[in-house]
Amino acid sequence: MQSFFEPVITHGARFFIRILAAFICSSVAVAILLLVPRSLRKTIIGVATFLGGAYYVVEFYTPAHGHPSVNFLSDHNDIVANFSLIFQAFALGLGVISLVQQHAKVVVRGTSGWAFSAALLVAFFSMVIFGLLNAYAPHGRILHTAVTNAEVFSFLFVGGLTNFGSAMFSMVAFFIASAAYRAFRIKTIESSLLMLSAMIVMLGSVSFGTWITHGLPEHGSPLSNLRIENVSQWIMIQVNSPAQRGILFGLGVGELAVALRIWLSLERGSYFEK
Amino acid sequence: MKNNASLYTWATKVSKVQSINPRVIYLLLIAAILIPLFLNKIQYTNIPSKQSTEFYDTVNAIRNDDRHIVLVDGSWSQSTRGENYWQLKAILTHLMSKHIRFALLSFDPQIDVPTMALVRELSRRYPYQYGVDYIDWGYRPDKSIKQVLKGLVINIPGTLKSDWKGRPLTAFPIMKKIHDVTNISAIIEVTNTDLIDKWLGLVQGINRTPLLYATTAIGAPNYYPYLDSRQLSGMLTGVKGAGDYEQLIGEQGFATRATGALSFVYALIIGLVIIGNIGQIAGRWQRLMDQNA
Repeated sequence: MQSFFEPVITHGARFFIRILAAFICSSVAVAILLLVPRSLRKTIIGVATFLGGAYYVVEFYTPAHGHPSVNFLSDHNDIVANFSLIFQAFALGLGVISLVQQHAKVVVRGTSGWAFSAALLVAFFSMVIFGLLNAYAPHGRILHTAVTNAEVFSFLFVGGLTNFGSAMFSMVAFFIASAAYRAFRIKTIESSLLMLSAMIVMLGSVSFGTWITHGLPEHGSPLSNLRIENVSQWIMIQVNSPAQRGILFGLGVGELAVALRIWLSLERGSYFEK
Repeated sequence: MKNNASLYTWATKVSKVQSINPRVIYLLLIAAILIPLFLNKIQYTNIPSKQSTEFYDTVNAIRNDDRHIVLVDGSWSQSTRGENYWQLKAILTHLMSKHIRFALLSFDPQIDVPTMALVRELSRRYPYQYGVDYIDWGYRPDKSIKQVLKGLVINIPGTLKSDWKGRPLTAFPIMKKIHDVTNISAIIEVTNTDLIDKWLGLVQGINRTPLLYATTAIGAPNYYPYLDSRQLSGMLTGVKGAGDYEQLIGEQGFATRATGALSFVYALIIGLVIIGNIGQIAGRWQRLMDQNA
């Protein structure tokens, strides 16, 4: 069981045979699931979901013995983890199929924004193809030129994707500056408090701000509390922290409720219901 | 009457500053960023935050023997390179200057290459040998984080199995006495995501391992409660945190200059907010005078 769900660490023909076997097994499993009646399908999925969740709940709450985090179920974590990863990979595959179908339709029909969909498909397949070539034939040449698969992958990934990410995020700075100028206005007491606390926190975290109150004593005097960095720290620890803690508690309870509903298959609309 | 007229004219003129063209703001912002970055003569008096100092003190107190390593999880992407890269550089400089052995791990595929390049660059100053002084456990998909973290707690080599190039972990001298979470002397999480929640929930509490968090300025406020509860032993916040750390370890790198640029940018934003509010008040006066007239 352990070895069945472990990642395949082998190369050459055996590797591809194993991938093919895994693909056939998975396809058969999905086909069987699709062939069974809807009510039985719901039961199968509900039971599988419950068992998967139950394992982690029991494993987490069962007291440890010996090692600080080991109990009678801990030895099986690897199997369950690999099983879970395989299912997640299925979900990813379904997502990819759906994405390609959606954008291919837009391109074929030539509807508004088709160029963006075409760009997405070209980028997607380029990354997939050169990602695989980079992993399995990094030194292979492209059409008998001097360019290798690894170089093309590096150009796409390091030269393209990563720089697009940097460029996208750096633009946020411009929008934040513009938005702060427009939004931080004294209109109500709440907006004034928000603006004042934002300005103090901003000032407290940069040298320009700390320079304003640098004349006040650093320690040993009540006046040191009025240094801008100390006021900023007070806002973050004494005001921000309790508010964040409250939000975290609320989120935690909400997540628990949602998790319970999914685990026990109580969520309406899930598992093929309308 | 004449005074009222001049006041009305003044209010009309000043009220226009509440709608400055965004292009002007963008140009001012570019200048505020670039000028301090390229003018090395400007001196900044940065005061490291309490969280940055605690981060530094925790690293200084790390147990350094062959039975322990520091785990550095760099799970950020190039989108936040401006903050996370300089934090990571300052942290690794500190670790390597003290010759603390460490392992690298990432849940983001973009980070292995720049991190390894960074370690190689720093290795010229502080001789570090792969497999002996540091190791790269490689990239693991973020979807598998819960399973990986649960596995790390009880069996590190059994969970991760191989390094970033697929070589067995047990083959490296650094891993000889490293078995589980009790062999990790500190966890340093450099990230722009909420992965820290998982580290807190699944790893930190098991052995009370010091957990240090370097994150973006925008993500930091959510995690102050964990500083308060001492679950986080320190936190670096954005480029200011990287600048703080450079100052604490006695370096004068890019983050120090970037902290200066940040100072100019904040001053500009605060100036714009004040100008906008003056414009708004002037606009109110103008409307009030219109109603009275």
